[in-house]
Amino acid sequence: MTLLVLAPSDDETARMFCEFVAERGHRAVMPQGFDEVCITVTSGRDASHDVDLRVGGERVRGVLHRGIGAPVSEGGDSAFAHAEALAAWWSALALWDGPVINGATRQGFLPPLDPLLLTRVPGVTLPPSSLGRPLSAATTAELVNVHRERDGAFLGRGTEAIVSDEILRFTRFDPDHVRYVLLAGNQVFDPSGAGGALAGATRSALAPLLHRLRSLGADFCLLVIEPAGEECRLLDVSGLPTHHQFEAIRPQVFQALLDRLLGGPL
Amino acid sequence: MILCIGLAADPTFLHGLRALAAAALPFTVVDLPTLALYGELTVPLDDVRATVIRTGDGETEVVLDEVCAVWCRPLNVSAGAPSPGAAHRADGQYQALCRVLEAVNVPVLNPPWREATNSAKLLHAVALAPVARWRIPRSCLTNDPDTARAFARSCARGTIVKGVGATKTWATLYGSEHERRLPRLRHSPALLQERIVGPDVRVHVVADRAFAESIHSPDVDYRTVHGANRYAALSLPQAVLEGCRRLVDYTRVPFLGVDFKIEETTGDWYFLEANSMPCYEGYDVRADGAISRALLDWLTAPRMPGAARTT
Repeated sequence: MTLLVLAPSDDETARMFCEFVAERGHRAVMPQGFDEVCITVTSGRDASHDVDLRVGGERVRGVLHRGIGAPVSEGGDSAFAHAEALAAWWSALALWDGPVINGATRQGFLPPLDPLLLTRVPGVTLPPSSLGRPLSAATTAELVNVHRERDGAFLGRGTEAIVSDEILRFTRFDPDHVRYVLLAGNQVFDPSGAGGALAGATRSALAPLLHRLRSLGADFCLLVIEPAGEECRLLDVSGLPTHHQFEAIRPQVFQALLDRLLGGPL
Repeated sequence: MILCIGLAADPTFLHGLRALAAAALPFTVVDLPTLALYGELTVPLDDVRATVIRTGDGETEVVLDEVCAVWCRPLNVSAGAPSPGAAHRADGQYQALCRVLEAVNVPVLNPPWREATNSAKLLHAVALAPVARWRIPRSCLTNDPDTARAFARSCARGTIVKGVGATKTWATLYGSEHERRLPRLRHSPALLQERIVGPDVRVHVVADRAFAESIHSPDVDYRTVHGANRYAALSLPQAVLEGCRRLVDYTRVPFLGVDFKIEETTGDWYFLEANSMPCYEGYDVRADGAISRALLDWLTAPRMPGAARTT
């Protein structure tokens, strides 16, 4: 049985998942070029379609999708090749009827997880946050996270993280109240809690949001939340969780992903 | 006031600005390269209508809350920036503006990331054609030379070869040169489609109004031909018009440039794509400004409070 792990070559988490899959007696391949896979999408005049994904002649059974990274260099042939590769994978994964973790959809190559749009889910709000204009902590207990808008990179906390020539995103939060929730396949974990079990109340409060994420194709993502009364402030959602963020429960998380890939329809 | 976001170097953007000026409508312009070099963007994410854009010319400050509609043709200009710093600002501003224009409760023509499948041609056609109840040409996206060769041989009237994504590529007719290069497919897939022999049609759809032209060209890709194409206004069959309207509703994109081919022997229409940032100025000139008038009507239409918000 062959699984495909679509990820950039420096994605350690993807490589670890491949090793985990191999230990369970399956094959997981992380191709670094189209010459390692065979991909065909055909459609009829009535838009009926068929997708054939193969590695070494064997049909792919499931896909863990973590994107294809950035172009090797900006502009020119590299940018064109990257755009073509993205379009090919996007068409193939979105139209394939096999299981894909973090599936490509009409809405995006990777699931669109902008907290700004996820606040349309009842009970979900944003923390005090802004782009471009620095925010300062309102109380001594609070901190301000600074991210780079163009790629979402975390730069640090407070004014020390401010750099020029960047559009920055400032998010005010109370670290004592921040919680992490990891959605992996059909399961939901608390990556910081003992055993990874998520408290029932938190699970209930997040049910509409988790439902929305799944409807967007997101079934491997890390949520950073701050409970605020009956509402939940959504600080961040990442569709590319890294193993450092769930180290204590890595086998359970990988098993949940594998179960999803082996259990989905073919 | 209508907020216009785009590039001063984009002829389509300039065409739209001229139409706004000719209609004496109040508008303000944000040129994205100027914004990156000299301007400033501030977005309170928990209240995006309070977004402030300072264009950098010392005079213009736009608060989104004071805007009645947005007309935008945003492009990420970071690759052409004169310095890494300007590139980073341009990239960040582009990402931020696209997020804001998707989330804000103001009529936007068009929300830039709304119809994302424009970046993947085959997915785009397969996803949208059933909505409008249209046919598409038989297609094959592959990196397998044998599959490509077999598909090409199955197309009795010829095969068109084109790029898979949104980057502009010319459609060419499959021939011996392609056959010779088939082994290269292993490294980068291509999109092959059965050739539909007959005129192209471009329909510009603005909400429920549509403006169509047929294009008779001596070449396979009419965009490569200058001076020899014949353009003629076309009355749309009712089924095509209704399909266009369904597409606007489904995509929640109010302005689309929809491309078809008409098979010359059967008269059947084949959907190719629906462009959500069409270059319409040439068509508009030939239509005596009808597309512009429809766009201005949409931008200035009275709306119920909250009506712009979509979920």
